Formats: sequence, structure tokens, C-alpha cells
Amino acid sequence: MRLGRRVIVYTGALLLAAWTLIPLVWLAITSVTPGNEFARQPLPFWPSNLDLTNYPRLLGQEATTSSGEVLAASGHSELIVEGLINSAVVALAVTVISLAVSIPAAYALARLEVRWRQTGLLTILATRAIPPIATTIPFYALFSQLGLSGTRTGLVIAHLTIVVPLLVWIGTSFFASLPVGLERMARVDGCSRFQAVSKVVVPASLPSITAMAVIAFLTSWNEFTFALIFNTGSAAQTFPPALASMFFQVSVPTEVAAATCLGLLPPLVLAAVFQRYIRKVNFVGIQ
Amino acid sequence: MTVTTEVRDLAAAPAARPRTPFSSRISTNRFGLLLIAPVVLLTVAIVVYPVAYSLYISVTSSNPITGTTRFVGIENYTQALGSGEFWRTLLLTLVYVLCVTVLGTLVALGAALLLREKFFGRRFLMAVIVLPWALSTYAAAVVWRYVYSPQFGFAAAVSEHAGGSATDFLTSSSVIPALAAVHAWQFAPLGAYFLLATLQMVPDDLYKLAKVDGMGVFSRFRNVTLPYIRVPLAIFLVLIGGQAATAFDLIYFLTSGGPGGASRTLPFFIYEETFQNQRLGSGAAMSWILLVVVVVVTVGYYTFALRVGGGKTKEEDR
Amino acid sequence: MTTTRRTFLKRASFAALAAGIGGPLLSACGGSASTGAGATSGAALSAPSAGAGQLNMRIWGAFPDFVRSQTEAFTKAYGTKVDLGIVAGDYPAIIQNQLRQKQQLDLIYSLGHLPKAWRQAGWIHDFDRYWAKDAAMGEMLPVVRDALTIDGRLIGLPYFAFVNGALMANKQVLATAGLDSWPTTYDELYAQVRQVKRSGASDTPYLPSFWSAPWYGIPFGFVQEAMNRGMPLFGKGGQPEFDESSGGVVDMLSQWRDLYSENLVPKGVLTFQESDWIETYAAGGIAYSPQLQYDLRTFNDPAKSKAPGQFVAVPQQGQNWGMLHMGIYLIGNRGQSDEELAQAYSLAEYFGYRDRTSGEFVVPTGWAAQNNLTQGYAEVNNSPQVEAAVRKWLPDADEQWPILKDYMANPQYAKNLYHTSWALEWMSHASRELPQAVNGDADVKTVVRSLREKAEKLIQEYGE
Repeated sequence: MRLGRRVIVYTGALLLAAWTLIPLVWLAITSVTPGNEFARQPLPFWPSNLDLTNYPRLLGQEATTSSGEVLAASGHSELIVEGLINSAVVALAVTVISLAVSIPAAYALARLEVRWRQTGLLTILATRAIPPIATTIPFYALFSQLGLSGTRTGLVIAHLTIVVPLLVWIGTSFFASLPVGLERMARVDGCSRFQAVSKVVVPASLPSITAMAVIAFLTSWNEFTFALIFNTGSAAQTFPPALASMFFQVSVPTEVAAATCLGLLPPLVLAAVFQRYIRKVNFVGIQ
Repeated sequence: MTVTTEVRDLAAAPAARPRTPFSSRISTNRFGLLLIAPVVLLTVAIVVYPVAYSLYISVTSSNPITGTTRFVGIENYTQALGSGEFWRTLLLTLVYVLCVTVLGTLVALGAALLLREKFFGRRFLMAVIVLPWALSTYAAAVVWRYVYSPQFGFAAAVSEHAGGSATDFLTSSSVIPALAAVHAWQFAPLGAYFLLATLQMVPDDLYKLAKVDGMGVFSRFRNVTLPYIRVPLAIFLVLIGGQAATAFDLIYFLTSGGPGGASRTLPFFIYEETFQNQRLGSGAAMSWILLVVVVVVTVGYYTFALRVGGGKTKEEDR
Repeated sequence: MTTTRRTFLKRASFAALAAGIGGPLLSACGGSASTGAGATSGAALSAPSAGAGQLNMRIWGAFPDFVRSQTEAFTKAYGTKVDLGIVAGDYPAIIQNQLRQKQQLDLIYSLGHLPKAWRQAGWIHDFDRYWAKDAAMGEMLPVVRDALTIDGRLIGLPYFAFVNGALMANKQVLATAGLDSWPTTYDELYAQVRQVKRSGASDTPYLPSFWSAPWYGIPFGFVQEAMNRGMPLFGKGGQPEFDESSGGVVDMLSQWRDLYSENLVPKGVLTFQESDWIETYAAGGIAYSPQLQYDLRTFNDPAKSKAPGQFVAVPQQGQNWGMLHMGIYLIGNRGQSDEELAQAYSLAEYFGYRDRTSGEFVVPTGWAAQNNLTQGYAEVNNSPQVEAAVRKWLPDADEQWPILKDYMANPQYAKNLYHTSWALEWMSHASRELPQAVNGDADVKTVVRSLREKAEKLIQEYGE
């Protein structure tokens, strides 16, 4: 590479890294900044000593500061812990159910000459254009009648409305890109049609299915609108509204930053671990 | 699409054998419908129902406080379309979508072009750019509160260390770009990934040829790169634009539509009408207008972009 | 492509409509089911002798650990389980959505401007059948009793009663600026604020409640300052008494505009959340701020403040600083039986009045002593226990304690606005309009006209 080009590439790389990471790193720094150093003028980039007490306190433990002072658990710890558990349960359920439903459908739409195929795909695309805020009222009315509001089941159902169309859309393009020879070989070997799919096609698309699973989990874990309107205040409240409840009246910014970091950890780890699969996701769909 | 014929062929053969499993006995069409059935049921139950219901609400006017409900036909629609506030909000939504799309595309394209190069740390960068995408819009809003805040934000820290004073990013003139930056930060990684996937398919020879022809950087981009990425780019624009048009969490959390309504886009206006003012009919009618606008713009754009883009690629292929 | 999708959507939605899925559910949406007045009728109930079932209590996110310890104590003493939930975000909007859907909400927090509408919609029970209604009302501060009486009925029990817009001062900043007399009017206050800035003691010497997210800080600030200045805002039935042609409100908003354009207020104040408003003042460096009275404790708490011991309340000399802010315990109406209503009254009583076993103000005293959350009962606010607890952290306690008592002696209350069915909607309208007057996006007179017209339109829709 010529020098000039190298300078441009490395400058660009640094800028991209800074743009991506600085907001996240700053949040992490804030979460370990001692209260008395927070918001000092001028703002320090790095606290002179680290205060890790926010984390155990948010998880319901007492914590001892560096000066030996014992701090009680955060008043919001119960909410935060409950929120994390609810989020995990809901997201896992959504992942399992949406995969079970979407994989066969995506396969059929990609591989088989099904009548209404085009209509089906278009409908799925159209559902992506519905603003979530517009469907909350109908759902809420229905869920109230069925006793589903304020429950994890209700939230799972609500999340499926978002996740399933997304997965079908992505999955269809996965399966369309697989070589057709796969099924033929399987059928020649005496597999039934279901077996051809379940024993040959699915294993062959495992990386893609992993990516779909990660996307399903993240979408559910991150969902805020339904979670806020259906489940806030109930025992089934997920993490995002629990975090939102920390922002009113008296809050401690460093504590809020720590709580946010706790909630960010699962999606960030998942995304980082599986990014090479996610990278291959073809959101373009089939044409 | 060549796929389907082959599948049909192989479907015909085993069907003739006796004692074949059920899945192989039925016609391709039925097998397909069987696989799609759960999704169809789910879609009907959880997508068609709320949509139909909100259509119904949109032609009624109810005030739960005074206890009146009446059928009003299209009055909610005409009222929305006749109100200056609605149009201001719609215009603001369009400006927001435009900002998000432009910023998001610039970042995504820049990142993709960069990541096509070989450099030290590329693998690391490739891995970390996914992180913002993994966050919810809501969490992204929290993260950026800590960047923008004039009291404890990172931006304030930088300008204070540089000897300046903190800037308020959320003033009425800057709030839309500021929100759009957050949105772009979060959504660009996705675009970067799939633009990169396409860019990697461009044969290096083409660039070499272009160089021999004496093309500059921009002309190489226009004549070699752009034809390849036109279609994925078009689709990315649709995705990010749709996202921006229906965005609610980010605005709810960072500004609540403020200051003074300066970031009150249509989804937030719908929230206010529906939940704060309890005008369900009006909220539903505006949701429908938003939906129609998004669908019409998307389909129109999609058709246009694919026609133009598709033509180009075919030419290149030859 | 377009046609396919449209046809499909049309077909699908009409099919669903024809199947009539939508119809029956609209009633669940509140509208036709409720018929206006939500009076709780029947003879007074008697206190339940034993606990039963489970009560749902919904609160906003203030001190959830304290509330939880109290619900646990209640369950232990009276045997009824309590499910405590903390509602995030836009509390009034979310709670009224749940009320409309007849969710089980036995005890909920509310602010003073919400119950009138909820009562009209039939979503809440009043306390007319509460066994100790007369005794409780007899003990309330007169202004609190008045605030809690809607349509002649006791609507709820007091959760807190303090002054919103109590003028706080940071002594450190004032001393640096060389100021040694308290302002007695807003004109004097703003003159002092400019003096502080000129002196260099503070770059942004004033923190007003200009924020508008998401609990309508700025409309409260508007109503409060106008009332303190003695301007007529709303008459009987919520009739607006201000307009853009007479001075008053226009002058006040023009002064606000100057405060903002002269950079006398912190940057970003218009998009603050409530927490920012409190934290920014606690971070020090700001001379004056109208705040929630109880936050004086937060400002002097070494764990949350950069200048503990420096924050004091400015004495009232001639005019009030701030207005009464009411937190209220309400009981949701989902058609519960007398038995269930009595259990809900019992929980409300435990939180909002005396513990009927011991006869003591258990929870109210806890709030006042531990969190400086003054109560609707003089006996609690003036109890030696509360005074001792407050004096522990209150700077210049001998001077400040009487000042704080004076704030609660005769506070103003925006009853004419709050006791309308449309207060919430007007406030949310004002929260969008007022910032535009402050930052200059709209002409002050235009904003004032819009505020008046909105009120007139709402009166037409809801009646007086």
C-alpha cells in the first residue's frame, strides 16, 4: 500500500473504532466513577480511583467502599435482578418458539413452489412497516380480556409478532442460497421429505440458524415499547422498563450507568461471540 | 428461481412408491402449506388481528372520560389531514428519516469500504462494530445521554479539556441531527456488514482495469463499486428509513419530543394522542396514515431502485 | 407488487372486520362501559377483621425499598398479601391505560391533577365508605383536605404534601458573589441571579423548572410562578383568566425567555429529566433553584451532593415561593366486592393515615423522618420525632426549621386547574408550548394564546 493510502486507512479505522466504542466505554467509566468525582469541572476522562460498589449493590448485595464504608444494596436492586431474569426467560422462549415456527416456513418459501408465495413474502415485509406503537392498543385490549397483560406469556406472544416475520424473511434468503443438490442427495438416500429437511438441510445451515437464534434473542431482549406498556409495574417486568424506572425523582447517574451496563452485557457478549455468523445474514432477502 | 423446477421433479418421483412417509406423499404445494401453516396462523392471530382492530378503532371516536363512543367514519382521518400540527409532525418525521438515512448510509458505506482493505486490527474492528447494533434503541438512548449531557457527557468532557465549554446538543435546531446520529450509530453496522459482503464480490481486476483507464478514486467508486452495491444499498436505505419512520423509544427517552415539540415525530405524536390524551381513534387513524406513507414510499422506492439497479447489474454481468 | 400487497391487506382486514373480532373488544377499551360519575355508593364499611387475598399496589420509582419494607410490614400485621409494582416512564399515561382496561389496581400513587378525570371515567373508588373518613379529614391540613375533596367526596388519602417550587439557595455561591439578603419577589430573584453571574461566582446561577420530560416540569413551573406572582390563571371550572393582551403571564414568559437567552440557566435544561433537574442543582455551582421541598435533604446528603450543608430554603417574605404538590393514594375501581374494597381501604389507611392497631401514623412518620417527605397531617409534620430527624441534616437548623414549617403553613394550590377532567391534557399541551416561548421558537404571545385556546377547547369538550 502506498503511504498516503495507509494513512487514510488507519485514520479511518481509528475514527470508526472511536465512533463505535467511545459511547460504550464512557458509560462503563461512568459506572465505576465515585460519586464525589462525578460531574466535576472539568470532567475527568478517568476517575482517580475506581468505585466498583454499584455492581454488587445493584445485584442486591452490600458493598464496601475503598474507605471501608459499608453501603446497603441499591433500592432498585430487586427490580433490576427481577428484570434481568424476566428478560432472559422471555428472550429464550421467544428464540425457541420463533425458530421452530420460522425455519419450516422459511424453507417452504425458499424452496417450494407454493401458491401465494409472493403474497406471503410481501405480507411479511408489510408487517415490518407497522409502527409498534400502533399495535399496542389492540394487543392491550385483547390481552386484558385474556388475562395476559402483565405476564411473561403475553410478552412472549407480543415479541413473536416482531421476531417471526423477521426470521422468516432472513431464513428465506438463507435457504434460497443453499445448493439444491442437498435435498436431492438425501432423497436418493431414502430420506422422507421431512427427514431431508431436518437431517440434511438444517445441519447444513446451522451457522445461519445460529445467527437467526441470536437475532431472535437480541430482538426480544431489547424490546421496549411492548415491555413498557404491557408489563411495567408487574412482576413480569423485563429489564428495559426496570431500567427506565430508575430515572425518575432521585437517581444516581453512576448507578444508572452501572445498571445499563448490566443490561448491555448479555447482548454485547452474544453479538461479539456470534458476530461472524451475524455478518453473513442477508437482510436483503430474495429478489 | 431455477430451484423450484428441480424440486418439483424430485417431488414427483418418490410419490409413486407405496408406504412413503406422509410428508413425501402429499403434493409439493400441500407440503409447503404444511410448513407455512404455523406462520400463517400466527400472522393471522397476532398481526392481522391488531391491524384490523386498529382499523376499526380509527373509525370511531371515544372519550373514556366522558364515556362516549361513536362511529365517525373517516372523520379521524380528515381531521388529522386537516390539522397543521399533523403536517408539521409528518414533515419532521420525513426530515428525521432523511437525516438518519444519510448519516447511516455514510457511516455504513464508509465502514464497508474501509473494512475491504487489509490493515492491522481489521479483524478486531470487524468484530466490535457489531456492538451498537446489538443494543436496543432504548439502551442506545441511555448510552448517548451520557455522551450528550452538558453536565456529565463525554462531549462536554472533551470540550472542557480543550478549554471550551459544554455544548447543548438537544436544542430545537440540533435535536433532530443529534437523535439521527444515535440512530445511525446503532443501525449502520448492519449496513456495513452487508455492503461489505457485496463489495467483496467485486473482482479486483475491475479496479486494476479502471486504474489503467486512468480513473480517479471517485470515478472508480462511481463506475466500478456503485453498480455492484446499488441493490443492497437500496435495500439498506429501505430498512433504515422504515426504522427511522417508526422510531419511538429513542425519542421517548432522550427528549420526549422536546424541546417544545422540536423532535416530536409522528410515532411520538401517536403515543401522545393514544396514551396521554386517550384519543384512541385519532391515534389509530394517524398510525394508518403513517403505515400507508411508509408502505407507499417503500414500495415505490424499492420498485424504482430495483429497476434502475437491476438493469445496471445485468449490463455489468455481460 | 403494490397492488398485491394492498389487495392482500385490504382482504385480510375486511375479513377480520367481517368476523367481528373488533367489535366486542371496544367495550373493553373503556368507552361504552363506563358511564361518567364514579361515585362509590353504599353505607360506610367497617374495617376487615382478617386479611384476605392479594392487593396490587402500583407506584412510581421513588424509594421502592422503603415502600417494600412497609408493604411487608402491612402483610405481617394484617395478613393480606401485597404485590408491589414500580411503574416506569410516563406514569400517568401508563396507569390510566391500565385503569381503562380494568386491571387490578388496588392502591396507586397519583398526583393532584389526575383523579378528577379518573373519577369521572369511573375508574377509581372514592373514600366515602371508608370507616375513618371523618377522623382522617379532620386531621388533614385544611389545604390538603380541600385538594383531596372532589365533587364533595374524599377522593383519596395523602401520600405526601410538600411545596413544589420551594426556592432553594446555595449559600456557597451566594457568599462568593457577596450577596447577603434574600430576594422577596421574582423580580428581585432574577436581579440577584444576574448579579451572581456578573460577579463570576457562577456561570449559570439559576435552575428553573423548564424541563418538560416526562412529568411536565415546565407546566408546573408556569402555574406555580404565576400563582406566586398573584396572577389569575384559572377561574371556577377551569375557565382561563389569562390572555395574550394583558401583561401578567406574557411578561413572566418574556422574563423566562431572557433568562434562557442570557445563558443564566444550565445548558440543556429544556430536555432535562426530573433526575437531571435535581442532580444538576446538587452538583453545586448554581445559586438559586425552585425545587421540590423534600429534595432539600438530597441536596444536603453527602452521598448525592457536591456541597452538603450549603443548601437552604429561602424564607417567604410577602409572597409564597412555590405551591402545594400532592401525592395521593387512590383505589382502582374494577367492580370489586365490599369485602375487597374494605381490604383496599385497609391498605390505603395503613399508608395514608394511622395504623389502626397502634393508632400511630406509622408510614407517614417514616416518610417524613427518613425522606423529608412532608405529610398531609400537621401532627406528623410537627412531631418531635420528625423535627429531630430533620434537624440532624438540616443546615442552620434553628433558622431553617421555621422557614420549612412556614412553607407548609399556607401554600397555594392550583385547584381550579387540577380539579378539571382535562388538566392532564392541558398540562401535556403546555409542556410542548412553553419551551417554545423560552427558547424563542415561538412568540410569547402566540404561546399564551395557544394555552388559552387549548383550555377553552377542552372545556367545550369536557364541560366545566
